[in-house]
Amino acid sequence: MARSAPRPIDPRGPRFNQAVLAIALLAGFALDQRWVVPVWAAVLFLGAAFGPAYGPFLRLYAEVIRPRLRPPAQLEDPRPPRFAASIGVAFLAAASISFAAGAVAVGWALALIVAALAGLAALSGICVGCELYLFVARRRGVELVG
Amino acid sequence: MDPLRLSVVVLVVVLVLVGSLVYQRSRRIDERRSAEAFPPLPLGLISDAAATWVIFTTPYCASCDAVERELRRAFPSEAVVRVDATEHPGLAERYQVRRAPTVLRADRAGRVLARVVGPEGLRRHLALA
Repeated sequence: MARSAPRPIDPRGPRFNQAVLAIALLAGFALDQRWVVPVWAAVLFLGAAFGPAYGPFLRLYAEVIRPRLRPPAQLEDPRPPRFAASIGVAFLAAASISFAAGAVAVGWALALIVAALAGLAALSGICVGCELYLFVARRRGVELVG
Repeated sequence: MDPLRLSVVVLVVVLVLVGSLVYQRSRRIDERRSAEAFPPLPLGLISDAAATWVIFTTPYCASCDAVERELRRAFPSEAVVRVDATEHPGLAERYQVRRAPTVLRADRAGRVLARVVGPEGLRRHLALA
């Protein structure tokens, strides 16, 4: 993890990412398209591991959507949503492994947990993974920006 | 489409919608509580500055430091104190603190003049002031 404090981000970027994620996973489940799950594990992994510039939908938001919107009312520390995304990656990776192992119900259960939490975060800003990050960060004395 | 799958999807969507509506409603109710309805703050918290801002924080509050900085910048002649709501649950309950930061502004007698919730609440308050 980087030592210096990262640049604050537009909080609507992760919200957009969460909204697309929730819709994609629910549509994937409704239509029984299991490939959606590993694909989104990879999509979330790119953003969580390498930063928002590498997350496809974070990039789409930053380059296409954000220039058409008013500037954000407030900026946010990028680390909590990144941490939350990495929890999403863990769940979706476990779901993909379950599919591969034939445990389809377990795989969808894990994916739907991610879909519900992402939907809640996108709609209301309650980000369970971010709260977990704050809990851990405060114990370690990390200074937040934003 | 499989009706069972569809009903699971509908269930998840409904739960998420209801959850976020309940959350937003409780936040709105919290933000609209009027300052006058609250009893005066204990004088031990109040300094002899013209007014004292009391910030209710929690150990894991992400935006409390930014709110404190903003208050000190906007009101350099007024006092700013922090109260950890987890260490003073009775006080937090009396002022119906549901979210950190919840900020009270009090005069020298401890009378609550304003109640502001969250960083966006403070920004609205500063824009109106």
